[in-house]
Amino acid sequence: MKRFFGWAFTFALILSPKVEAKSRFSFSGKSYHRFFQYTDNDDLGPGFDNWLFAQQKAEFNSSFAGRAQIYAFAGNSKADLIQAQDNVEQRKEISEVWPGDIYLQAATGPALLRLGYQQISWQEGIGLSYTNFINARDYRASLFDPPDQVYRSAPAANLILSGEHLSLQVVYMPFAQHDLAPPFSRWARVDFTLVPGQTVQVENPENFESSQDAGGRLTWAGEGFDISAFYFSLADRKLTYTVAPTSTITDIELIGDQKKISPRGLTTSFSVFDFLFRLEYMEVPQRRWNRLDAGTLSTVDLDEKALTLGLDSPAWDKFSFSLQASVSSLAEDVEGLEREQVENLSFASLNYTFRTDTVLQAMALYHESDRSLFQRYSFSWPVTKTVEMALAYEASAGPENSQGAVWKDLNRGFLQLNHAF
Amino acid sequence: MIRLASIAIIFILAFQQPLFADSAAQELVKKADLRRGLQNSFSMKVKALVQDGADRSEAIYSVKVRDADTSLVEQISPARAQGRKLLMKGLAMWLFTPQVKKPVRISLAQKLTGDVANGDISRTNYAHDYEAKLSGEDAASQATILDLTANDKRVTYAKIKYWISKQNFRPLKAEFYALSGKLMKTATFSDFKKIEGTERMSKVIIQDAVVPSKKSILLYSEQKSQSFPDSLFNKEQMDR
Repeated sequence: MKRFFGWAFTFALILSPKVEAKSRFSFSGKSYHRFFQYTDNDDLGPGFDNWLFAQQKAEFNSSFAGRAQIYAFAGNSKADLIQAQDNVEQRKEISEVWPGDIYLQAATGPALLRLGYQQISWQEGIGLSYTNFINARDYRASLFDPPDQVYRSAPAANLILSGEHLSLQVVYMPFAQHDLAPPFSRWARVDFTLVPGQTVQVENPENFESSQDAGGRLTWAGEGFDISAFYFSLADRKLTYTVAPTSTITDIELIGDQKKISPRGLTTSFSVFDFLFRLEYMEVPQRRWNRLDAGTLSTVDLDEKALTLGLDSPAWDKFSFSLQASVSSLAEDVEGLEREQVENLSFASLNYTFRTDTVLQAMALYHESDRSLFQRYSFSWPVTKTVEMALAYEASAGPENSQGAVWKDLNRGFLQLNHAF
Repeated sequence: MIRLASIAIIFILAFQQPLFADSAAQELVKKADLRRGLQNSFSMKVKALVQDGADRSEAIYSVKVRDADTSLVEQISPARAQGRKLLMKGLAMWLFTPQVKKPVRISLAQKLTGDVANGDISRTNYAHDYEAKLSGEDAASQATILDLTANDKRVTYAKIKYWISKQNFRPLKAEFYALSGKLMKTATFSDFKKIEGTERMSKVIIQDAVVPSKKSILLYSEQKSQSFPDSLFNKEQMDR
């Protein structure tokens, strides 16, 4: 970490004496505050949360040597104040500050280089996209929250070389992060029943082994369509768990582990009659998964393939919709016979706008394999030029996952104030 | 032989007339384009006032245009919508929203706000996008009326009926039609101001043809020639 920022600092020092006088500095930001977030979880019981997400954007932009630009962007810092529950009796307050996008950027001609904390998304799909694998995910966030509140920024060197239509992006990430899956997470598969009657809650590992991750993407952006091919070698952001050798029935310790994986694939989007079609295909050879069989936790490496097809309608007078279907398969070789596990995921979003800026939105995600359904209905309206309010209700329900992980039913309603400055 | 040659000449002249007319019409559209705004690399601010019955809303956009095919529109007001960007390259267009962090392909005809289409702000060179044909004259407004037909189905409107002043080539009025021939909306151009040596419009009123209570007003300001780095118009750098 120190070495990375050492290089970034050196880079800034080299450029700083040549910065011209006509520099520009600006400061702006946004905050999202959920008041009275009422959560009723069938495992933890009802309770109120208070949630705050803040983004500050400070820009320093200056031209250098006549053509190149040095562009420092410090912002999207995330501060969550979560009043959560460990169990019905005990409440715990969590205050966190996560770095958002905080990076130094330099651009000259067709090249753009960014050094620092970044969120990098290669997904063409919306919502839960298989190809959004570069940054780790915070599973405490709702499935329907926007990506900048869900994905964790990570230190990276990000180089983009762009031509008129063709561009190449190369990313190097010196410090891997893992998905956040705390015990009170609604929908991450983190709790195991290893002993009958006893559920083991999984903690995020405190110390995490660093990993050198790198990858690239080649994109063609034409008049009729965009197409990208990507390859990445990275530590899996999804943790798998093993039981500590010294564990006893009464004291079970799970160890989080990350295996190196190499996702590769294609994404494309094209429009026909103002409808946008989105397509993603990804393969991950030998990805590691947990398997729970008769109270014994083990790991297994499986080939994963995922395909997503999405369709967005144009924004008609007041109405628009998005539909998306994904299918993923996990295949393993069992004594010469290939066994395959297929999962289907469907997503729909309907938007109705009236009174110029008031939006009624309904979103639903259906997970066919375990018949779980996630829904969100929201109503948002502008109050002033800088303030917007939203009233939302979320519900999710589904049977316990077949692999033993707990999927809790959840009902959540909240009033959210979005403020821009 | 002479008779055959005469018939041939008459035949050629008969078919040549519309060609002369089309070329003149196209030239007229080019002159009117000059009065609708700066044509090469330039920047401007556009304020959009939207009225839908009793409801009112306002938005301000910063527009950077490199040429007739390349532009970047960034929303700067209201603050709650700051950072939304539209990038146009050729007839392709992408929308970037800060929350999603990924450009999404959209069309020029989609609505930006109220009755204002994306192409109304980002792509305003009619001579580049439409084939013009003289249609008639309007004695009341002393204008030439032209029929414009899209030279590509992806441009903002399929057909435009366009009124251009005979006196000073100012654009006066336009009717926008769907492919079906249905009138969608009407625009009137006004408030001409001298900008960089030429009188150019600074106000457009767009009236919905179906719902009379819906109206959008575009106010142009701070128009000035300016050059931009190519990287500004790159889809991969829209989050800058």
